[in-house]
Amino acid sequence: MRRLLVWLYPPAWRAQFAKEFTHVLERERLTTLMVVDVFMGAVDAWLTPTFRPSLPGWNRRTIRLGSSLVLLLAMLSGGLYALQSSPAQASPRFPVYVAISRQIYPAVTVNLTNLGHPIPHLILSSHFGPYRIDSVRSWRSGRIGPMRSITGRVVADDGAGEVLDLGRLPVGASATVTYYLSRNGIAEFGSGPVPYTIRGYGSLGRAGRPDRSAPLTGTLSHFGSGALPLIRTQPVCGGDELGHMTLSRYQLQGSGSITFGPRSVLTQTFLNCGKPIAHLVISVRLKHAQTDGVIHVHAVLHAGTLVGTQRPIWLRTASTAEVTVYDLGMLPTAGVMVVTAVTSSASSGSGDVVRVYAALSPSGQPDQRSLVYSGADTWSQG
Amino acid sequence: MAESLSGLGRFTDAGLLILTSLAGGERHGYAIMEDVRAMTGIKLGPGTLYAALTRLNGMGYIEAVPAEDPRRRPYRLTASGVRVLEHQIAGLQQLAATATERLASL
Repeated sequence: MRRLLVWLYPPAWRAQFAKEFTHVLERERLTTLMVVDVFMGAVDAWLTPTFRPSLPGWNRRTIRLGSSLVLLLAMLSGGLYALQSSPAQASPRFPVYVAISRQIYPAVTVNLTNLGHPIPHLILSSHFGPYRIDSVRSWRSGRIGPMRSITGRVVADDGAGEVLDLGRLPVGASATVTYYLSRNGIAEFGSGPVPYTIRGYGSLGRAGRPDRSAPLTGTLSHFGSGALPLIRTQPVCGGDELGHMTLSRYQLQGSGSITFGPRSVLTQTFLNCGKPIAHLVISVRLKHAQTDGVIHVHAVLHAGTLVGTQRPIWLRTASTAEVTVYDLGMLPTAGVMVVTAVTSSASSGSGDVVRVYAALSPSGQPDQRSLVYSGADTWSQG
Repeated sequence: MAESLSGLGRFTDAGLLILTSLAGGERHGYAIMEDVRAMTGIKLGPGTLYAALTRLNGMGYIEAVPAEDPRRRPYRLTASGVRVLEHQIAGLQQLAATATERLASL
């Protein structure tokens, strides 16, 4: 079809531009609008004296008649193509905020927050080198608060790994996908970096396959092979992209989610829209959770820089072993922090109490006056 | 005599976008398309892109740069291309100033 489009152009034009024009066509998805656009370009080329054939009998009237025929053919072809394909639309692009956890093998978590426009189908195609995907869990939430499970649905295998359709993701909502991996049948904890190939799409194309003209994007480009972790774009203050946690002097936005499995994975994203925070402190109390009482913070990503990995950075663990307090350090204005916590064993639970503070008292305790957020969230095992 | 883009007809807007893209350096066709999309969110269709490119080339505002890969032949601004872009930008700045002034008086 693309080569046919090139042949609509006058020979003199093709001699000069055919190769590069073909290159452009090959990199674009064939849509009705594109076909019509190319036809219009071909008409224009035929009307351009430079490229007009100098054959006997070719006068302006002949050219115009021929161009009209080309245009008519364009309309017919465009209509035919529209009938064969999904409704014509400009290729949408879906800007998202993405954080990928690091070295939490055998669990790798991808957290996405929609910063663009509604995503009809959040589709992730993932492959982790020599590691096998044992299972996938996914959760979605718009803000810290009640979280509900969504069901991953395998749509198709595009040759790059498992493809999941996670359904609709409204603006401001977050989705977290946790992949549980193993190699040679062994799910060993704490191995080295996990190679990955992840591609994201925002809608379904024909035959229920990912629409490759609708990539998840933004300034991020990590939907390809790479090493974990990466944050390639930042949300912007002033919008309502993330849930607000605002109290008096501090303006913090955040979203969180949890996935259950051999190890439960909690992901929290914070964006500071107020003044600089010297100590971002979170306190987590799991209710009815069946764990050994310890949550390890394995990766803290601060504005794209990994500031903590593979070692707990908690300030103290309460005597009941149910309340855990973490000092996550400084969070400047417009700074982003992503915290991924993993329980040290399989767990199940029905809720938690999360408090977020923005300062420490002189005694090293969370400054109660700097409370930014306090919520008793409920969740159930998916 | 000041150069203008009036010879581009209905491709004037596309021509201005292409010249602006090439002001950032040499680019081949697809790279121009992507750059324009990143700059403005406007997606130039391939037909529109090359209709404007061929006109700009014919008017001497841009020129092709010899390349080993003919599929990725880059283009660059010529001296007259730089002048016409400067002229167009000055006109847009004047328009923006007028619009701003009038909006302020509403």
